[in-house]
Amino acid sequence: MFEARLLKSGQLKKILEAIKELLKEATFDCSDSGIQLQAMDDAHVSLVSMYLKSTGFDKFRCDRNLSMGINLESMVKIMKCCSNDDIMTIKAQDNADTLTIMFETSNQEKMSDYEMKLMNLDQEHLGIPETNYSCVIKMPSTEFARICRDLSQFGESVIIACTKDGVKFSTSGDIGSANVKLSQSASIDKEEEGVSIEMQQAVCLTFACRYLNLFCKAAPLSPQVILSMSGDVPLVVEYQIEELGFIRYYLAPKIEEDD
Amino acid sequence: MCGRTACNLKCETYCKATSYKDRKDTLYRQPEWHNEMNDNFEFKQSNNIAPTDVTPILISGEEFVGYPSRILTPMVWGMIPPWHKGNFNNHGLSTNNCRIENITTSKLYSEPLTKGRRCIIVCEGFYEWKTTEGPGKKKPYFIYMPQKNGVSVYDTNAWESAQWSEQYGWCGPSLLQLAGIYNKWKSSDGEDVYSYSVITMESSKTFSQLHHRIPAVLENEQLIEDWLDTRRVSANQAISMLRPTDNLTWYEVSSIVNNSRNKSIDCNKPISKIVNKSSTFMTSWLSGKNKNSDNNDENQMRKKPKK
Repeated sequence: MFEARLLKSGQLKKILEAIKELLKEATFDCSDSGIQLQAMDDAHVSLVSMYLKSTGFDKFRCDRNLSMGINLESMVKIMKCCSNDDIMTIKAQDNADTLTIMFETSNQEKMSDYEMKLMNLDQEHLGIPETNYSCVIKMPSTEFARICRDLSQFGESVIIACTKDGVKFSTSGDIGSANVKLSQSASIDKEEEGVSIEMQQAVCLTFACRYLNLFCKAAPLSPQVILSMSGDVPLVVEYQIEELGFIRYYLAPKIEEDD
Repeated sequence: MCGRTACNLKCETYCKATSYKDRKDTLYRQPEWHNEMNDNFEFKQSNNIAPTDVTPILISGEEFVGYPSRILTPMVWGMIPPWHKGNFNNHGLSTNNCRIENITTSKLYSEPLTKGRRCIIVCEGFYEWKTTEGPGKKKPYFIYMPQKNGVSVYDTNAWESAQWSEQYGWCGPSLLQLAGIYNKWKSSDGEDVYSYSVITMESSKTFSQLHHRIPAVLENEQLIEDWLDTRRVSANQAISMLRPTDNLTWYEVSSIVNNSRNKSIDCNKPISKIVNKSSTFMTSWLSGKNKNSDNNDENQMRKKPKK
């Protein structure tokens, strides 16, 4: 028996919004420590890794490990039927081929339940190598989203260059070029409002705008985004979900094709 | 409509893949390749062939070499109207397809048809943009003949290294052969330029889920022989034997084919088979094979128990 109760269904709504354009379907692995999802997009250029810890839920019970193959589009449809403040309960039997999702309003005057068919998905077991990153940049998630959106008007790829002075995002295309430079914030009241850079070694890598824009759909989950970079490894774009867990996106740098 | 094809094989391979037996033959023979009639126009192999490109065309040799055995010769896609003056590619008319409904009444197409200028367009397959899902959602598909089990139509090697012998003929993948008509045009320099148009018709039920028009496919040797033998089979008989086929298969391809300047070999690959360097990079990083990650990290990974 698996059962998880979340006081704000809006959180899961936002999580699905943040992954549904990269993944059509995904396996949610449930265990007593929480819910984990790891999947690559169709093009195998990016990887989504999500972890929701059991202690972040109001109630969490998972008697046996369970892998649920879920069509994300269908799940988004169900999540559209609730309000953000509704209390949500997800339930499945141990060998179930369906998942039950229930919503109740906080005053408990309205209850609704939805049953969704589960899918059998081929599972790739992906081990994410532990990496020491040369640069770790923390910045407001809305600022990052804004930069990605602005620069994608000019070109298909963004060069992210991180030095001890700051981080520079640049692109160029048919109409010209664009550069946005952020320096470390001198003094800030709240940590998540500023830009901070921890750097061992300067890094400069190129990434596809399209993917960065898709990652930015997670901005509503967290006021802060953490970018981790090293030469010759994928970029990590991390959003921490308060008290619940995180979403990390891994993106391979753009490599020029020979032909 | 049929406005984009894939012809990415060597001339010799087209000759082998269109080999045939005449009625009296006991062994297979290949059509001869003739380039000299159209000397300015050479066939350049590509997976993204668009109108005004030059592709191999199968015809009866009667008009060209004086005897009826089959020949392959490069021609320009899109019939150049005989009355056109100027460059071969600036007549401004869209003549890559001729509609079977008005082929006998058309000023442009009826004349070559009555003259017996019937031809066969050979290609690995053609592209169509699925419009049935509504506006703004056009997705390209590659359409080809059903192949034997395990044969990938986009695998050039399957074609180029396939066996051919006089005894068994062609043992490689099946080409798509489309009925068309061709005509001769005289350029201002006095050169003869041959060009062709693909015959299209209302789709069969199966194909209409992709598009409402379909090119006329010649799916067996009998149809091919009848279409080419203009002495024995009259224009009207030939036209009346063309039917929208149900014997086609297809898969979705990447939108890189949308631009006819993209000649990448990925054009006719199923989307899932396209590998780019970024995805190779990601895969090797995840499997711990990245050459730059230090050994320590790799060992730590191995020690971790996998569920």
